[in-house]
Amino acid sequence: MLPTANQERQLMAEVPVNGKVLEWAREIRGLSLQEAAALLRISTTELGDLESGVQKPQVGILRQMAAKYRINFAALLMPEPLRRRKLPTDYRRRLGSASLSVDTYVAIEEVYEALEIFKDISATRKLPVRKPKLVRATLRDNPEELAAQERRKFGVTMEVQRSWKHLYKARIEWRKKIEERGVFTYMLPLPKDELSGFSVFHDDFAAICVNDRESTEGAKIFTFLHEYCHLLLRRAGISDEQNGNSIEKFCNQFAAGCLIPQVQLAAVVKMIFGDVDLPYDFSDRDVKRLSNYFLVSNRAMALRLEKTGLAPNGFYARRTLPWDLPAEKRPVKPDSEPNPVRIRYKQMGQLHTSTVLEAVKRNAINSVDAADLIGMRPQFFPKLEALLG
Amino acid sequence: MKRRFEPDLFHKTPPKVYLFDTSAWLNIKNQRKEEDIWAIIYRLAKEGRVFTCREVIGELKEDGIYEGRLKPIEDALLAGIPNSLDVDYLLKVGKVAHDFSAMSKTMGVKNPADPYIVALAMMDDTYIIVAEENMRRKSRKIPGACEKLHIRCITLKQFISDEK
Repeated sequence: MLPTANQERQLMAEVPVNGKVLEWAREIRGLSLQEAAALLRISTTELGDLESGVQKPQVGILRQMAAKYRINFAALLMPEPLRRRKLPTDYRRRLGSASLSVDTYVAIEEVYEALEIFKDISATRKLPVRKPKLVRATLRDNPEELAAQERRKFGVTMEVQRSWKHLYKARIEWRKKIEERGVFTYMLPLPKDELSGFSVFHDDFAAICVNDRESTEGAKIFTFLHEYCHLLLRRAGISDEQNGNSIEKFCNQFAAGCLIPQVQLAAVVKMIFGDVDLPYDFSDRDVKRLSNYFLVSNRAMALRLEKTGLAPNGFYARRTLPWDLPAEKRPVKPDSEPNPVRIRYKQMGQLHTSTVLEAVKRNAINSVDAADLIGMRPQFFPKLEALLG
Repeated sequence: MKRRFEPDLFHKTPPKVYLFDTSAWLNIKNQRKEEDIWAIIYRLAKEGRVFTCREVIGELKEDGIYEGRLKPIEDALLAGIPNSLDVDYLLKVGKVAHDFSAMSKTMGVKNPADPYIVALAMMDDTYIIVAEENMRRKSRKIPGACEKLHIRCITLKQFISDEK
């Protein structure tokens, strides 16, 4: 049995590790000296001494570091730091450009590692893992036209979109359409006010991760398509969908065009509201009616109405201001226990889950590696199979 | 490191000593003569000729193989294997994690057993690692690390053929 952290501390075994490696481990998780010291419940001076090599750490503190930094314990024992992985470009502006949290760094690392393992699986030739077939777009392209083109490839017509009935179902279907294009998708709970999502292109494999803490299903749908556009541009990044940046703006226009095609929007406005003078000052109720029609968020609809000239300038800001008031938390029903298998399935996505389970069946990876990739013990695999259908 | 197996003076070549990786343990159940293989392993464990490390046991605790097969011989499998307080061993693990970072998933959260197995073999050259890995992306797997470090590494099939 592995000794407990306390037993290790009692034994006080000092390890002559390289302090630079401890500093590297802290920095690749985006932690300042103060933040890390607070996590470890030691003073910044003590942590500084460990990182400068003045003091050698005991095994116990190294174990704590590994747990709090969420990094492999063996990494802290390396003789030298490794070169840092080049992360996707950080395009965030709306939510500030403060350092990313440990959760986000870990999520990015895990997505990279999953793509690496899919490459391993593919190399076994026991299971060919599909690579994405995506057009290569540039910022010179017209985002509306690109959106219309991709919508056709997704096979999403207005009839199909309307048949989804609810935002929840729409999110599942849009995600499925993206996965059908060979892109792995993830929905992980990341800090709410940090990012909307990120995309990764790695060795011909691609992935999108949406922040599952985004406030609405509509917002998540928008992020899926926004990140998909990053992949089309081959400019993977960490996003908050702020229009100030030309790439983010292009991706926003693409996502809006994909979800709410301009021609169809104009036709629906005419159908519902008749020959109103445009631009028209739609009420909250009107916006909601239109967003329900297209199964998008009210925000996306308000923005789209303004950007297409159907609503006056400043409409979005004016209309959405009262929506920014924090919503009251809904009471959780005592009998609605979350199902951990369903939660994990939602987080990892259908493509990731089915690829891993198929790889185990074909002996391309073992059950321990599969459990790591899925984040659940092998006993739960049959339940995941059942969810896959 | 204390050698667990003392070769007989009259033996011309000392019997082989094996170090099993997680992948090899898990692959036993895929073999046609599974029971025969376990009989070999139980015999070798008794003779002090088959070992593994705590991290491998840790990985296998999630799998039925631990309760059913390994728990009864756990003490024998870990006899003399250094623990995570052995500083020399830890530093070797760190060196492997650095030199074979893809295999060790060094930047990740998990603590895979692979660098611990390779580090053990670096400390005692009598070990032969038994690992079952795809050889196409060698740099990410134990056999690739073994090749670079001149550590003997065989598959489960080779192990069976040598010991049956």
